[in-house]
Amino acid sequence: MDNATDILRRTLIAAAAAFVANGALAQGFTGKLTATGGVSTVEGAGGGGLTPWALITGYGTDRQIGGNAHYTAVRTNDYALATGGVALGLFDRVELSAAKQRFDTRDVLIPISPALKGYKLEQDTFGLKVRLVGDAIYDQDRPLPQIAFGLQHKRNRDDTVIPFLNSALGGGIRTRGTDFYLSATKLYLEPGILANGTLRFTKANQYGLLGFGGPDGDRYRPEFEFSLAYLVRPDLAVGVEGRTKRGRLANPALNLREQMAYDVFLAWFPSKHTSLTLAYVDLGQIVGALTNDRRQRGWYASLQAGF
Amino acid sequence: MPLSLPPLPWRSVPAAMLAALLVVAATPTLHAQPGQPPLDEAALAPYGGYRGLGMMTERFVERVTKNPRIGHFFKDVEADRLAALLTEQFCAVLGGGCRYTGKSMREAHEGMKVRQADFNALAEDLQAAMTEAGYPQWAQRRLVARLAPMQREIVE
Ligand code: HEM
Repeated sequence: MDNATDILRRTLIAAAAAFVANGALAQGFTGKLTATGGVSTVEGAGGGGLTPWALITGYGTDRQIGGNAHYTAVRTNDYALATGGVALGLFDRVELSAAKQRFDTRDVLIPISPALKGYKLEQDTFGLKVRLVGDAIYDQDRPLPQIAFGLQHKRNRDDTVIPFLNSALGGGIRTRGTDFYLSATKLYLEPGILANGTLRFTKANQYGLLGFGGPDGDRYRPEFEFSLAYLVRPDLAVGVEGRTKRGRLANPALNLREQMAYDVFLAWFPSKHTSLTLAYVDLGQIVGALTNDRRQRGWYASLQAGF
Repeated sequence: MPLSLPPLPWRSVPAAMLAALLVVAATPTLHAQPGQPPLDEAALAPYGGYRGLGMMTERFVERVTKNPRIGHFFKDVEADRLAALLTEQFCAVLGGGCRYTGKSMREAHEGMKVRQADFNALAEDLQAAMTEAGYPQWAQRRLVARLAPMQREIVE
């Protein structure tokens, strides 16, 4: 819990810094339509909760800088995840992000060693996103979506679980990896629908929390992600997301099989500076043998503040 | 989605409905201006008809001219003329049957150095004016969606 509090504290400091910067920029600021700033993913990029969108985070226009800080908490049957991060949108063209994840294994690892009660896997993610073509907001008369290219460099700081898996499975799991993705986002303003598809090339096992690659190889594999949202009101969106996950780790004794992750979310934008997202998530199995082979279902809450 | 009407005491609702029916039945098709094609009343109904659209647009122009961010663009502009042209244009893009008689968007805004943020500020004023007029969300989104692509001709 101390760790989570620490992330929260740092996130709040970042948010405060964002507000100060906002004051300085207030003269030149009038942003995009509310809600088109999106929310923050668990990996820090702007988008839905699970998957990045082609939109550049924040409400900055082509001549402005936008940015935000977020804190996200996820609690499933057997695990808890806390993520804090900051993101900067530059001239509605480039997005930079940094996020820290703390994945609390709670009681899951006790059968391996009682000392691992409450063990937390930590991972840092640095993201870059560049808008390539299209404009999701203004291109209402064209079929072309807004398309962006992104990368996420992840550094897993774990020194316990990944070495254990390497010795159990025969090595090959790395602690660092870089995902590449293409996202296409289309906003249908008239019916109030936002659709996003993301093609990700990754080596990650469970988002990288269980490292990258494995004994069977170190090749990139494609994964597909989608978001579909409906704008109920200008300040309220509901939607679903899905994300395929086919990590390569295989071990009959541990059951490391991954499954597709889903969520159903409600995002509320009380102002252009804040958003609150609540979701019901199903992350699929995570180390099934130690968690009764059940899918990890639970709640997701995320608070974002920015300018 | 229902049109927002001013709240009525429930007893007077049937009477008001009857009155509305009579008015609708008795009103001949309104013309925007002489020389304009006939209006498509159904397309304009969510906007309070051509008259309602015109009133909303006047309030919108008022907001824009008072907006500290973009008001200066309009200081030498004749508000009534602008509101009339905008009403025509809104009616046309909504499929209301009007013919827009003003300049093209590129011509009208050339050299003004309108920026993205100015455009968005104006769009926000429009949304505020539509909310004030009681337009339903979907009707607001329809007009905004049809104007959004003009950004390419207006913003430098
Ligand atoms: C979707 C957005 C917009 C639409 C639909 C629109 C539409 C129009 C129309 C129909 C006219 C009259 C053209 C004529 O005189 O024949 C006009 C003029 C004008 N617009 Fe816009 N406009 C938009 C955005 C803007 C913005 C963002 C600004 C500046 C902040 C702006 C500033 C002006 C000014 C100053 C005039 C008067 C020009 C003159 O009388 O010479 N407009 N606009």
